[in-house]
Amino acid sequence: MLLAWATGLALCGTIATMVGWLAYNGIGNVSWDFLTTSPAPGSLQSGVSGGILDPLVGSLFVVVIGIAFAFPLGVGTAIFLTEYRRPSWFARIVDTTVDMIFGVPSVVFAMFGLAVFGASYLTFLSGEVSTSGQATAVSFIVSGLMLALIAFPPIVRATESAIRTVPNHQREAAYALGKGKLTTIRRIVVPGARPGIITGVMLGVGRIVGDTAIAIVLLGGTVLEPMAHGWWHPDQITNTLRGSGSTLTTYILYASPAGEGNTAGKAYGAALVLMVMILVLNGIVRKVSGVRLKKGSSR
Amino acid sequence: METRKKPKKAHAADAVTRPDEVMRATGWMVRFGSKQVLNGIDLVVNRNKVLALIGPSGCGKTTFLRSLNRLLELAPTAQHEGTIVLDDEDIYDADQDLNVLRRRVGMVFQQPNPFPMSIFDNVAFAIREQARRRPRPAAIAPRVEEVLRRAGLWDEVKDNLSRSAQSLSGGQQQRLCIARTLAADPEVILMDEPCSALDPRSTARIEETIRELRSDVSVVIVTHNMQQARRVSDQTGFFLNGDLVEYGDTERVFTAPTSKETADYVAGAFG
Ligand SMILES: Nc1ncnc2c1ncn2[C@@H]1O[C@H](COP(=O)(O)OP(=O)(O)OP(=O)(O)O)[C@@H](O)[C@H]1O
Ligand SMILES: [Mg+2]
Repeated sequence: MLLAWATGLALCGTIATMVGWLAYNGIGNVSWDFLTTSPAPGSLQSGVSGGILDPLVGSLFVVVIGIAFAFPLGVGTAIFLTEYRRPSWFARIVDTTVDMIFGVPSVVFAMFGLAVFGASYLTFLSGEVSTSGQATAVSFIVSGLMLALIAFPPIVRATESAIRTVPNHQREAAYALGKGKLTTIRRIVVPGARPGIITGVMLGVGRIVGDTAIAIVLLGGTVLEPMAHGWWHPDQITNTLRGSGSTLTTYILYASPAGEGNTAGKAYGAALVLMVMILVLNGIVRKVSGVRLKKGSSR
Repeated sequence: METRKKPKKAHAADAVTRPDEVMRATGWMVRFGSKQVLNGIDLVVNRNKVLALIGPSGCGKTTFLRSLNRLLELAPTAQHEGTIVLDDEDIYDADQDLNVLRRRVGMVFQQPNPFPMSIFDNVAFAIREQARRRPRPAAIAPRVEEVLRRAGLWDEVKDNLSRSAQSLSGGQQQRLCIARTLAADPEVILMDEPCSALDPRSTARIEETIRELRSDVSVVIVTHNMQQARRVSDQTGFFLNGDLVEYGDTERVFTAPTSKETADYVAGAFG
């Protein structure tokens, strides 16, 4: 009991220290300008200058692309694992696969993505290496697709456990009204599992935002240059998504003394922004799953 | 046992309903795995009448009820033999549309189980067909009102139909479940101990509803409450260990039972 209490206290202390330390070192760098200007090209002498607009937008891009794929796949897989599970040998394979995807370090996915998306007929997803005709396999689309993989397992698991909390008598009531299995799933089971699905998506977003390996390998983390002028223009957006970029994590890595930029202040600033984003996400997850707990206990 | 192993066709002659009958079970036998639960039931549900099924716990009443709308099939180990017809149609025929059947034979469960939606949406869910485009709320509002009235709930909820169904009292929830079932426009409504979770006032309210329903639908109600069976039903069937021991007009079953077990049971000797 005392040990558990002490462990909890130590954990809280560690987090508090970290956030405090980030805040102390980073807050001076965080400003409206910092958030809304592009990073300027860095050199070893001058370090990184400018803000983190492009990495922020980059993180947003990979989140949207990653979740766009992970969400339907994850919810669909969870529905299969809970409502169908047939044939059962296949369900067991899917189950194990989800666990394995959960356990694989993202750098392995990064290498895998590099190999797969490098195929010459996949140049439309990234760029073409002029010398070989192979695809570069470095783009928002490619990294978003691989990041979908790491967002997928938490979405499956959270959705699964939420679906299991939907009481069986609700399904029976729908069947007894002459509703088919699909209608019952769509109109009763999935809505009943909504808080869990949202929790899963938030956890998935957190994993994408926090990932570094895939972003470095498949997005071109060394490029601290801003995206091409007018990247947001409708004519340009496809090229932008097929092009390389950066995320908050790759920015931090390269701006830090460990990377090329050697501007610790900028790295702290970006890390603080990232940390706050993840804390906010966590707050949302807690709030949403708290709603579900309360609802469950009132029955 | 041997005689029940006859092929389905053998029952075909018995399996035709007369005009005053809506459902008829013939030689209906159910097993869960190796455990036999119903031993060949022959029973008639009369049109626009209330049939009460009574009997001690575990004798197969729920199993029989769930046979009538094929909810039985949700149990993976369930096997059955015999026939059940609804208006001369074999409901277990391969051509029978399961979802249509379950709209024709509705069910109210022991525990009130409204969906976690508004009162309106609970009823609307039952009305809406699986069409691509769902009808607008305004289009189905009259129908929602009609079934809520028939279930005797309208006056209590008309002020706020968008309230969560789960904020209603247990008795109101059960009447909502009856309304929801009525919305599918059934010919028969099955009720499995619909009042066992309710207080006496709510129970009286539901019994009143059941008696009123009789003008448009037939009702099969399972109950452990002898007084209730006498109050609401026209016919009564007494189940014991998977057999239908006694069946007949309610007054007769309660006042002049033919079997000793029935006499003991209705007198409260066991169960
Ligand atoms: N899905 C199932 N799988 C296996 N056995 C079952 C299943 N459903 C019911 N049974 C068994 O069938 C028998 C009859 O059950 P049933 O629920 O029909 O009884 P009942 O008359 O409704 O009892 P009660 O009055 O307690 O509701 C019981 O012995 C029960 O254990
Ligand atoms: Mg029962």
